[in-house]
Amino acid sequence: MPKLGRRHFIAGMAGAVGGGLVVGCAKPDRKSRVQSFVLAPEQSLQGENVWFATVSAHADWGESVVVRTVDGRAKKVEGNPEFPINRGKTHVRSQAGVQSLYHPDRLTRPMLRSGGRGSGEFEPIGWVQALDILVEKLGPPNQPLLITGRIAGTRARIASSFAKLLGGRHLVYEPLETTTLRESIRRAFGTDQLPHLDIRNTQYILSFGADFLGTWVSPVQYSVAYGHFRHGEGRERGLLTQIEPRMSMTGSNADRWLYIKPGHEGAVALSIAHVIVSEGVVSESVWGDALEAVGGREALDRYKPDAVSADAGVSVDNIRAVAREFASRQPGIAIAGGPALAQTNGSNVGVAILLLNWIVGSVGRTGGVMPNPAPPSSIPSPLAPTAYSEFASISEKSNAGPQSIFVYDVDPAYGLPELTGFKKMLVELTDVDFLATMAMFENETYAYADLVLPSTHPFEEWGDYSVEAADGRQVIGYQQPVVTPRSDVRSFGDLLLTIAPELITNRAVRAETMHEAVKSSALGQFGDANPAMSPDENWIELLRRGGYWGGTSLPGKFSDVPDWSIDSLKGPAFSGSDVEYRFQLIPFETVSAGTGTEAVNPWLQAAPDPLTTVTWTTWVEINPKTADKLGLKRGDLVDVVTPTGKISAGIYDSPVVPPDVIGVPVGGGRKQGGRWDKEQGENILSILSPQIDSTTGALAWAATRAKLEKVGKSRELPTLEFYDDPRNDEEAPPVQVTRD
Amino acid sequence: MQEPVVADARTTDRELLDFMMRTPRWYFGSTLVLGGVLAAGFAVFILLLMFGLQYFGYSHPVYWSFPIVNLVFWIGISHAGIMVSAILRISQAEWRRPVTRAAEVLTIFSLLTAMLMPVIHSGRPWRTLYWEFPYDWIRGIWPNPRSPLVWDPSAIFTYLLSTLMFVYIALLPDIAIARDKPSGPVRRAIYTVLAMGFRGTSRQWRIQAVAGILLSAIILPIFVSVHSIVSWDFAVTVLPGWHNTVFAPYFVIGAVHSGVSAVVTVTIVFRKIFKLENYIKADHIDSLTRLLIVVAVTWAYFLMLDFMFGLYGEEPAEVATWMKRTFEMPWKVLAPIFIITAFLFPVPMWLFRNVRRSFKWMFITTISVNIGMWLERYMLIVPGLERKSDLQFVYGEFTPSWSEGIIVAASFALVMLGVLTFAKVLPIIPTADVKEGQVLSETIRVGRVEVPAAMRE
Amino acid sequence: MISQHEKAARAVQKFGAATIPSDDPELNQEGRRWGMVVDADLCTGCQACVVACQSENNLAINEEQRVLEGRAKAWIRIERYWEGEFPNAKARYLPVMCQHCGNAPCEPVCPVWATYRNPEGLNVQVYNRCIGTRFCANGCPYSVRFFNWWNPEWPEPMGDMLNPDVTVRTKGIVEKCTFCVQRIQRAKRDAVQQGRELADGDVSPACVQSCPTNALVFGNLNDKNSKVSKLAKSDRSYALLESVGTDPSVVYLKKVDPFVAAHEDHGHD
Ligand SMILES: Nc1nc2c(c(=O)[nH]1)N[C@H]1C(S)=C(S)[C@@H](COP(=O)(O)OP(=O)(O)OC[C@H]3O[C@@H](n4cnc5c(=O)[nH]c(N)nc54)[C@H](O)[C@@H]3O)O[C@H]1N2
Ligand SMILES: Nc1nc2c(c(=O)[nH]1)N[C@H]1C(S)=C(S)[C@@H](COP(=O)(O)OP(=O)(O)OC[C@H]3O[C@@H](n4cnc5c(=O)[nH]c(N)nc54)[C@H](O)[C@@H]3O)O[C@H]1N2
Ligand code: SF4
Ligand code: SF4
Ligand code: SF4
Ligand code: SF4
Ligand code: SF4
Repeated sequence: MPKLGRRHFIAGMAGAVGGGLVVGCAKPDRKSRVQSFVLAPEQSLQGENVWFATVSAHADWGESVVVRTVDGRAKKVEGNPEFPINRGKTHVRSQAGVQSLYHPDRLTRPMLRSGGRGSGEFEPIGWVQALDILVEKLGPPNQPLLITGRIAGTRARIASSFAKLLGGRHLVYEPLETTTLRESIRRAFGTDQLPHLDIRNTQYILSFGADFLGTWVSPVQYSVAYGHFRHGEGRERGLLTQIEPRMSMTGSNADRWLYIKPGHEGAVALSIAHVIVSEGVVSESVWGDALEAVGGREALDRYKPDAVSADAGVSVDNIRAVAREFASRQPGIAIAGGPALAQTNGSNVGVAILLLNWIVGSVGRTGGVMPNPAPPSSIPSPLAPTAYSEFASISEKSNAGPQSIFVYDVDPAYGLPELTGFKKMLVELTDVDFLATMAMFENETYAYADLVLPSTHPFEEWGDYSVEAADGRQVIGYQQPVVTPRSDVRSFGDLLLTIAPELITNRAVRAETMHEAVKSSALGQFGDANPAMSPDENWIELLRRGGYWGGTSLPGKFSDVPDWSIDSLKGPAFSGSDVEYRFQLIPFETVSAGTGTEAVNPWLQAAPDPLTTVTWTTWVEINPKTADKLGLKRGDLVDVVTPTGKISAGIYDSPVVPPDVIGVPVGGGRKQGGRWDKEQGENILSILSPQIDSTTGALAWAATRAKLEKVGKSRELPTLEFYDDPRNDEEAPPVQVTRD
Repeated sequence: MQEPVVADARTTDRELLDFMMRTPRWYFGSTLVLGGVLAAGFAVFILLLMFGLQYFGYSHPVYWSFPIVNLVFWIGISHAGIMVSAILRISQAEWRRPVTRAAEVLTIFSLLTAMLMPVIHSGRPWRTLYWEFPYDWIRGIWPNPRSPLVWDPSAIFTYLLSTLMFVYIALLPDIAIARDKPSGPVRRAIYTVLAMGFRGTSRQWRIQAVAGILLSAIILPIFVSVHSIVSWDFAVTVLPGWHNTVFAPYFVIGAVHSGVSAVVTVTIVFRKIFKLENYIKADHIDSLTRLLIVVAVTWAYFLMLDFMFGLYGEEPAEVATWMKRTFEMPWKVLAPIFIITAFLFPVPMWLFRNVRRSFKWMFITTISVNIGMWLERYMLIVPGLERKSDLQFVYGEFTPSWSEGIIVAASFALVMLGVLTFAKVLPIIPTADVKEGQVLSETIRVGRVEVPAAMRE
Repeated sequence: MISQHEKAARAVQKFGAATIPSDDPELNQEGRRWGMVVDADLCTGCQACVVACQSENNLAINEEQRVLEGRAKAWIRIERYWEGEFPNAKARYLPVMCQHCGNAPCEPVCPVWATYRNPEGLNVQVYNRCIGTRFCANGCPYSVRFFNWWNPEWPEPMGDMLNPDVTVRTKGIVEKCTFCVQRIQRAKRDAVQQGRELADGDVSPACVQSCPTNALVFGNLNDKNSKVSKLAKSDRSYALLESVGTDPSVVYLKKVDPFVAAHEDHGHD
C-alpha cells in the first residue's frame, strides 16, 4: 500500500466532506479566473505577476532584464537568465530601474522657455506646439547639431540618419570617454569591435586600471565570469593582478595590487614583455611575428625593468614577478582601462598593454582575447563616443553662424570641463540659435534650453541593441514597453520619426513608430530564425527571450599582427607642475552613481561606495599619513585646486591610497536635477584641464594634477562605516583569510 | 541615644496635619512649575506617538538609552521606601518613625514613574499596553515568558501592589485622625471611607500592627527580586558589558544606595518645607547615614567585581568595552564624575559626625549620590550598546537629544508633584506612629526609677 | 587556539548535520533548514545585492541625513575591512545580513513573540505583533535589526514600485532580513501547484538572484545534496562571531589570498 502523506489524506478527506472546512490544509488549486482583456490594458492579470524581458535602463553595456509587473506597475528588475551577457544577474544600477521609472521629479510634459535665456523658467505647452517649434528650428535651412549619449540599435540608426538628412551632425557624448580604448584595440587587433575577454577560462588577468568588475566595458558579464574564474567547478583558482594609480573596486579584489605612476602603464607593460621575451619563458614562435611588427626585440630593450622602475614607481622585483606569473599561468589576459588610458599618451599606452596578449599568445585563444563579430548594420551597437577635441572645436567652427542644437539624454553642460569652448557656448548661449533638450529629468543643459521635451523611461519604449562586448557571438537585446507611461512623454525614436517625414520615405527607415522600425528590422534579421514558426511568432519569441544570440554569418577576425610601433609610446604630460600641484588627481566612476546619470536615484546615492562606504556626497580620497602631515582628519573640507579651478569636499583617509594621489568620484555636484541629486556633492569633471590624448584627441581625464588647500571647516561624511577607531582584532577577524 | 520627640498629642496633630489643612503660597508656585515641566514631557510624548521616535537621539545600534536609564533609576529609588520601612520596622528601629511615610510615598511615585518609561520608550505604546499583559488568553495569544520584558512588569506590578497595601495599612490610623479633624464635608466623606471604620480599638491596633510586620516580611524578597529582574534586562543578553554575572546583586545594592540617599534628601526637604524641625532631628539623619555608609561600601565592592570580572575573562570585546568606558569620549569625562559623585565625594564625608548631623551637608552629599547613580545607569547601559565586537561595522554612538532631556526632567517633576500632592491630602509624617513613639518614650517616675509609660506588647 | 582543522570539523558538524529546532515537526515534514553560503572570496563589493534587497523588500529611502544619523536601513550590507598600509594595504568585503541563528539571541528577549524561529529555520519577524521595544535589536550581536523611527515616505508616484508581497513597515517597529520569506512561500506554492517537490535552487532571495559572482548561494542546509550544504562543508567555512554560540544559518567561506604571509593566515594560528 502506498504511504499516505498527511496532506494527501486531508486532501482526500476534503473531497469526501466538501472542501470548506479544510481549505487551509488542502492542496491549493490552480486559480482560474475569467478576466476580460478589455479591462486589462497592459496585459496584466489582476493580482498576478507578469514578467517582461527588456533592456536595462541603466547599463549601457546591454543588460537584458526581466521586469516583474503587477497590475500594470513595474515592481522589480531581475537579470534575464537566458541572456548570455548577464546570465540572470544584474548590475547595481539596473536594480534601480523601477525607481527612476516612478521618480517623482520626472519631466511630464513639453515646456517652452518663458523667462530670459538661461533663466531656467519654463511654461508647459502641448506636444503639437512643441513639435511645430522643433520642426521649424531643426528643419531646413538650419543644420542642427544632435548630441546624444552612446545610443544603440534602431534608435541610433534613426538619429544618425536624421542628422545626416538635415545636413547637420550627430555627436556622441561620453563623460569619461573611452575613445582611446577603441583606438588601442583597433591598433592592437585590427578590429572596430570590442573583443571578447574569456575571463571564464583564463588563468591570469593582468589589468592596468580596468575596473572590469565595477564599471569598465561590461562589468556584469565579467563579474559572472569572474565568479567562475575564482571558484568555478573543476578549475584552479585564477589569479588577478591589478596595476593602477588608485585602487579601484576591481583592484581591491586583486590578489596582487601594484601602484603605478599614471602614464607609465605602457612602459611597465613593455618592461613585462621584455622580461618574458628575454627570459625565454614563452617561446619565440609565440611572440616572434607580433614583436617584429611593432619594432622587434631591440625596441623593447629600452624598457628593461631597471630603466622603467624608477619613473613608473613599480619595483624591478614586482615587474619580474608579474612577468613570470603572467607568462607561466596561461592562458592569460592583459587589459587596459580607466586612468591608464585617460592620459595624453593613452592610446599608445593601451596598445603597449594589449601587446602583452600577443607576447604570451593569448590572442584568439580560449581563455584569452577573442574577436567579436560585427553587429548587423541595421542594429548598431552603442555608437563610439565623439572625441573630446571635436566638442572643443565646435565653438570655433560656429563662425558659420548660430547653431540649432538638440540634446538627448546627456548633460554636456555638466560633464564637460569648464574651459571647453563648447561648454561656454552652451552656458553663455553665444552663437546658439536654439537649444532643445529631451530627457527624463532636469539637468544642467536643460536650464539653458529654449524647449524641453520629456522622454520615456527605457521601460516605456521600444528599442533594440547590439551588445558591444559580446561573448564572441552576435548578441542582440530587445527592449519593449513594460508599462504604459503615466504622463504624456514620448520616446526619442518616435519623436524623430514624427518630425522627419523624410526619414520614413528614405530607404533607411520605413516606419512611423519605433515599434514598427524595431519590428521590421528584427523581422529582416531574424524573421526566419526558427523556420518552424511564422515571422510574427519569431518576433514574439525574440521579445520573450529578450533578444537573439547565436551564430553569425560574419565571424569576427583579428589582424595577424598589431599595427603599431613601440617607438610611438611617449611619456605622459600633465596639466600643472608637480612642484606646485603635488597630487595626481584621479577622477573615478563609482559603481552605483556612475558619471552622475544615476545620481537621481536615491537607492544608488545611498548605496555605499565599496571601498570608502561613503554615500550621497563627493569625497577626496587621500593617504592617511599624507593627511596626518597636512593636519587633516576624516571629513575635513579641503579645496581641490587644479590649474583650471577648484571644488571643496571632505577628505576620506584611505589606507589603500598612495601618498601622491588623490581620488575624487565623478557624478556629484549637479546644479539641476531631481530632489535627491540636485546640489549633492561637487562636480570634479568641471575642473579638469582639457588635456587630450595626442593620437585621438580624446579627453585625458586623468592627466590633471591638483593641490589641496585647507578650508578649515569640517563636515561629517555620510559613511556606512562607523568613524571611530576600529578595534584591531587579530584573534577573530571578521573576514578570515586562508592561503589556499 | 535617640532624642525623643517631646510634644503633647494635640500639638503633634496640629503640626503634622497643618499642611493638609492650610495651603502655603509656595505650594501653588511649585505646583505650577512642576506641572509645566510635566506638561512639556506630555507634549513630547504626544509628538513621539504621532511622528515616531525620531526625536530621540538613538542611532543604530544604540537602541536603548535615557528612558531605560530612567526606568532603572526610578526603580532604584523606589527601593528606598521599602528598605527603610520594612527593614526598620522589623528591626524595630525607633528612629524610623518620622521618615517611613516619606520613604514609602517616594516608593509609590517613583514606581509609577518608572513604569511609564518603557511605555514612552516603546515604538508602539498603544500595543505595548495590551500585549504585555496576557489579556488575549481566549485566543491563545500570550506574552513570551522567556523575555525579561515580561518578567519586568510582573515584578514591578507585584511590587507596586504590595507597596500600596503596605502604605495603606500604615496610613489607616492617620486617615482616622484626619477624619476626626475639622475639614470640608467632601474631604471628611473621603477620609471616612478610606479609614474603613478605624476607631483605635486595641483589636484594630493589634491587627494593624501584625499586618504591617507581616507585609514587611513578605515585601523584602520582592524588593530583592525586582531589581534583580531589572538587571536581567541586560544580563540575559550576549552583549559585552551587559552580560555580566554580578549584575543582579550589583543592581540591588545600587538601588539601595541611591534610594536611601533619596530618602535622606526628601526628609531634609520635608523637614524644611513642612516645618517639621520638632520631629525630624539630626539623630534620624545620622542613623540613616550610618546605614548608607554600609550600603555604599558594599555597592563599591560590587562595582569593582563588575570591573574585575570584565577583565578576568579576557574576552576581547568585553575588555574593549571597558577600555571605551574608561578612556574614550565622552565616557572618560563621565566616568570620573560618576565615581566621584556616587562615592569618592559623599562617602568619606559621611565618616564625619559633623557632616552626618548637618542637614545642609547631608542634602548636598545625597543629591550628589543620585547624580552619580543616574550616571552609573547611563554608563552601564549605553557603552555596551555602542558595541566593540569583532564586527566593526556595527559600532555606533549615542548623542542625547532635547526630547530625552525633557522626558527625564518630566519624570522628576512627576515624582515631586506626586509626593507634594500626597502631602496635601494625607499626612506625610506618620502621625499615629510618631505619637506611639512619644508615648513609648514618655517615662513616669515610680519611686526612684524612671520606667516607660507604656510597654510594648 | 584551535587549529583550522578543528574549526573546519566543527563547521561541518554544525552546518552539515544540523537538526531542525522545531517544536512541531508536522509543520516541517521535509526537514528543511534554510541557509545561505557567503563566499568572501567571491564578493567584489558591487552592491547589487544591497539595492536588490531594497527593491524587493520595500526598504525606505536612506536620505543623507539618515546615513549621518546612523539610522540608514540596509538588511544586507557590505562591510569592508582594511588590512595593512599602503603599498600593501588590502580591502576585504563581507556581506552581512540576518544570520537566522539556530540559537538566536534576539528571540527569547522579545516580550510578545514578534520574532521567533519558524519551523523551517527562519528567524521571522511579525510586524503586526511588534511593539517596538528594540530589545531584539540590542540582543542581536550582528546588529542587523533596524527600527523604524518614522513612517516611510514614497513621494508620488514612487508607491507604484512597492512590492505587493512585502509589508510596508510603519513607525515604531523593528525590521530585518527575512531571507525573502515571500519568495520561499511563493516557490512552495508554485511547486505544490505544479505537483512536484521543491527542488534545490527553486528559491532565490533577491540578493542571491542579483549577485553577479554567485558569492551568495541559498538553499536547504539539511538536504545533503543541495548546493549550500555542499559548500558549507568546504574547509573554508566559518561562522561569524562563532564564540557567541548563535548557530547561524549563514555560513561564510574564507577569503583566499595566495600572497598572505604564513603568520597572517588566520586559519593557521
Ligand atoms: N562552561 C560553564 N558552565 C557552567 C558555568 C560556567 O561558568 N561555565 N556555571 C555553572 C553554574 S555556576 C551554574 S549555577 C549552572 C547553571 O546551570 P543550569 O541550572 O542548567 O542553568 P539554567 O540555564 O538557568 O537552567 C535552568 C532550567 O530551568 C528552567 N526553569 C526555569 N524556571 C523553572 C521553574 O520554576 N521550574 C522548573 N522546573 N524549571 C525552571 C529553565 O527554563 C532552564 O531550562 O551552570 C554551570 N555551568
Ligand atoms: N548574565 C548572567 N549572570 C549570572 C548568571 C548567568 O548565567 N548569566 N548566572 C548566575 C550564577 S548561577 C552564578 S553562580 C554567578 C557566577 O558569577 P561569577 O562568579 O562572576 O562567574 P563567572 O563569570 O563564571 O566567573 C567570573 C570570572 O572569573 C574568571 N576566572 C576563571 N577562573 C579563574 C581563576 O582561577 N581565578 C580567578 N581570579 N578568576 C578566574 C572568569 O574568567 C570570569 O571572568 O552568576 C550569576 N549571574
Ligand atoms: S542575526 Fe540577529 S536578528 Fe538574525 S537571528 Fe541572529 S540574533 Fe536574530
Ligand atoms: S522590537 Fe518588536 S520584535 Fe523586537 S523585541 Fe520588541 S516587540 Fe519583539
Ligand atoms: S493580517 Fe491577518 S494574521 Fe495578520 S494580524 Fe491581521 S488578522 Fe492576524
Ligand atoms: S535574503 Fe532577502 S531579505 Fe535577506 S538580505 Fe537577501 S534580499 Fe534582503
Ligand atoms: S552582489 Fe554579490 S558580489 Fe556584489 S556585493 Fe553583493 S555579495 Fe558581493
